[in-house]
Amino acid sequence: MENNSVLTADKGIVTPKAVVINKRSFRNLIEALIKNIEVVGVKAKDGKYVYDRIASFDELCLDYDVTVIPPTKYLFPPIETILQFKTGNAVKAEPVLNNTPRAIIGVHPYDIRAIELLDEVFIATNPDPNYIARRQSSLIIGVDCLHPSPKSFAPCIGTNVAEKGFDFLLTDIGDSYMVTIGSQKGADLLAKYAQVSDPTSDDIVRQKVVRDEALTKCHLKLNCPKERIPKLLEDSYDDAYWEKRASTCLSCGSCVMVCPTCFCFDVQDDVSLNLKDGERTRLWDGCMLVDFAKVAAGENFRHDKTSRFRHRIYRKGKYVLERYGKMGCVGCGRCVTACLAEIASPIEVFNAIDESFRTKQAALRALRESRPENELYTPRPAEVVRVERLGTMEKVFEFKLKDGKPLGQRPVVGIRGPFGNGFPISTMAGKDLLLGAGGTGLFPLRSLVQYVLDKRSSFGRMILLFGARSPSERLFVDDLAAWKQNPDIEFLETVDKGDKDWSGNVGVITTLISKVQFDPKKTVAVVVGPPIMYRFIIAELKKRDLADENIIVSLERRMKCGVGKCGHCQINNVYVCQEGPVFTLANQR
Amino acid sequence: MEVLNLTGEEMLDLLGAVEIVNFREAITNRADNYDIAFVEGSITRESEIPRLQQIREQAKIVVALGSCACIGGVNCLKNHLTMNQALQMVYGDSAKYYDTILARPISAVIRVDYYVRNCPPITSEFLKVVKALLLGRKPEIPSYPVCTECKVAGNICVFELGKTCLGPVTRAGCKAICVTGGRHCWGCRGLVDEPNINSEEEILKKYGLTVEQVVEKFKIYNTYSEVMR
Repeated sequence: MENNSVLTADKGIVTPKAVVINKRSFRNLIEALIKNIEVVGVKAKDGKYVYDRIASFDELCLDYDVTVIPPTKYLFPPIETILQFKTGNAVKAEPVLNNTPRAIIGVHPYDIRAIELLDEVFIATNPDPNYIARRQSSLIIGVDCLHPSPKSFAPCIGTNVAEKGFDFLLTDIGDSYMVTIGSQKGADLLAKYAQVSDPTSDDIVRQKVVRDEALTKCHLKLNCPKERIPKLLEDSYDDAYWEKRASTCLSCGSCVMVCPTCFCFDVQDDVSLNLKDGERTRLWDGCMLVDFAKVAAGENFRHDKTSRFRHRIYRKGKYVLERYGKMGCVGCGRCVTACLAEIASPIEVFNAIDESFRTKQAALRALRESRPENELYTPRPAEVVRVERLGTMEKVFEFKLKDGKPLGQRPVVGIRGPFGNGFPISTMAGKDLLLGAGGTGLFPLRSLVQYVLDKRSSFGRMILLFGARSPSERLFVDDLAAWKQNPDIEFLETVDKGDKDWSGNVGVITTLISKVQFDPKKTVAVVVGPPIMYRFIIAELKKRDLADENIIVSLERRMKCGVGKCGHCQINNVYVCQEGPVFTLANQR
Repeated sequence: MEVLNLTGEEMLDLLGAVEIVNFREAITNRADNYDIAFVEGSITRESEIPRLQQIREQAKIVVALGSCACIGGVNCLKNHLTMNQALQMVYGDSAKYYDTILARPISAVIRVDYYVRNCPPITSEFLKVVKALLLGRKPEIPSYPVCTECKVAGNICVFELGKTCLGPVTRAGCKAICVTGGRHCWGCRGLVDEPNINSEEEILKKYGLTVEQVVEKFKIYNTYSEVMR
C-alpha cells in the first residue's frame, strides 16, 4: 500500500491521484464503513432517488440520475438546533454543534460543486461553527453522473465534473471503479479498507469514454456563453419577461427547497411550556416565499411574484457569483422537476432573456440603420438662468445649455409642456363656479381664479373653498388675503387642525360646502386636491344635485415622462398625462 | 378535543401554565372568568351567534381552534344545499324541531386574534400558540404553502406519482403530514394569503382533472373561502 500513499501535498495544494478499485472491494469498504460510522447514500424510492441512511451495501444505488433533495441537507439541515438556553435568574446559553462522523456516498459532481459553494459561504467568510462541524465530520464519496436526468444542464454551467471537494470520487468503468482521490482522509480510507491498483491505460481510456458518453446525454443547451449571464441579467432587470414568466408562480418555495446552492435561512426561538428553557433553531427559508422580505409594520420589499422570481434568478446567475466567486446554480435540474408551474428552470430563463435581449438589440440596430444617426432628433437640455420682467405680460428668459456649450447661430429652441389639457374654459363660460382646492391643489386653481378675475363678466359667481392641513401649510397667503377682500370672489377656507393664532374654520374642506348656497343647474364645480378629498367632496356635491358633467376634477398622478410612454399615470388605457389630467366626472367613468 | 391527546407530561406542563376554567368536553366545573378563549367548531345556528359574541366580549384573546372554526371546514359542504334540504337529510321527520343557517367560520361572526388550524388541530401547534400567548408574542405560523414543508420532509411530489394535491395553495404548518403518510393534501388548513388559484387550477387540469373535479377538490374544506364564492 505504500505505493498508494497517493497524495502529493505540496504547500497545501493537493494533486488528485487516480487508482482503480474493483466493485467487490468497494462493497467491502462500504460494509466496513457501515459498521463504524453513520453512512448515508442514494436509495431508490417510488421510482425516484433519495439520500437516506444506508444499512447495507445493497440498498445503495450509484447509477441514479438525480435525487429529490440534495445531499447538502447533511451539512446544512432543514432544521437544526444551534443553541439551548435557560431563562430566569440563571440565564444560560449553550451552543449546540453536531459532529457525528458520517459518510455521504454517491454524491454527483454538480452537488460537490454546490458543497464547494456552501464552503465558500459558511467557511471562507464569517465562519459558521455549525456548518464547519458537520463539514469536518463528513466523508464525501462522489460518483460521476453517467446517467444524467434529462432536466440537468450541468455541462452548460461546467459543473458536470468535480476535481476537488470530495474525499474520493468514483467513475464506473464496468467491473471496477476508477477512483480519484481528493483528500488525505480519502486516501487513508482506501488504504485501510480497500484493495486498489494503479490504473492501466485501458482504464483511463474507458473513464474518458464513459464520461464523454454521459455528456452526449445532456441535451439542454445554454444559448449564450455562461460568462455572459451576469451582464445579461443586469441589462434585463426591467424586461417584461419577468412578469409574464412569474404570473403562474405559486410562491410555494419548491424550487428553493430542492436547490443544492440555496442557503437562506430563518432563526426561531422555541421556549418550552414551562417557560424556563428552550432552544434556538435554524430553518431553511427561501426568497420565493411571500413573507421572506417582510419587515416591520407589514411592509414587504419584494411583495409581488415578479420581484421574487427575478430575485431568485438573479441570485442563481449573478448575485451569488459576484459575492462568492461561484455560480449560484449547478445545473442539477431539481427545481425544474419540482416546479409544478414549469417556470423555475434557470436555463430556460437565461435563454429567454438572452433572446429578448437579442431581439431588442436587433430592433435598435434596425432603427439606427433605417435612420442615419445624425438625423435623429437629439434634444440638448437647457436651463433658465435669468428671468427679466419687461411689462405685465412680457418677460425675457435667458437660458444656457446644460452641457455648457454655446448655442450657435439661430438655434431651434423647443419648449416642452405644459402637458395634457387644461380646464374647459369654454364650457364654463356664463356659469357659476364652485372651486374646491385641497392643499397644493390650489396651484392649478389659482391660475383659473386669476383667469376668471381677468375676464370677470364672462362668468357668474365664483366661490372658492380652500382647505389646508394646518395654518402654516396655507399657500399663496397674500393672494388668499386679497381674495378675502375682493367682492368678485366668495372665498371660504378651513384647516384640518388649527393653532393658537388661527381663528378661522377648523375641519375638513367638506364642511365648507354646507356653508355655501349654489344653484346646481347653473354651477360647475372644479375640484383639485388629494385623492381622499375627491371621494368626500364629490359625494357632498352629488348630494346637492350637481350633475356628473358639471363636476370637474384634475387627477394628479406620478408621471415619469409626461408624454404617454412610461405608464406610471396610466389608468386602464387612459394616460392621465395625455388625455387628462382634467376630466369631468362623467367622462372619467 | 384533540387537546386531550396531549401526552401526560405536556398536559401537566399546560395545566401548570394556564388555568382551564371552561372545557365542556373535558371538565364539569365551569366558569366565565377567562382571558383566552379557544373556540372549536363552525357557526351553524342562529343561537350560536350571540353566544359567540359573548365569548368575544369576555375574552381578551380569541383563538379559533381547528378547521371548522378557522375556515368553516367540511361543515360548509352543506352550504351547497338549501337549508331545508340539509335539515331533511340530517334529521328526516324531526327536521321541524331544528333550525340551521349557512355554516361559517367564527371569523364571519367575531374578530379572531389567532388561528390553530388543521383537521384535526395538531397538538404541537396548539402548544406553540399557547406558549407564544403566554410570552405575549405573536405565534409564528407559516404563511407559505404546504409544498415548502413537503420538500423539506423529503417527499416525492404527489403530482409526480400521478396524483393531485392542494398543497401548492394550502397554508403550511402541518409538516405535510398527509403526503408524508402516503396521501395528498386536502386543504384542511385553508388557503395561503395570496393563493395563485388560477395557476393551481391549470395544474390540476394539466394533471387530468375536469373543472368539476377541481371544484369538488376545493369544496371539501374551502367552501367558505373567497375562491369558492
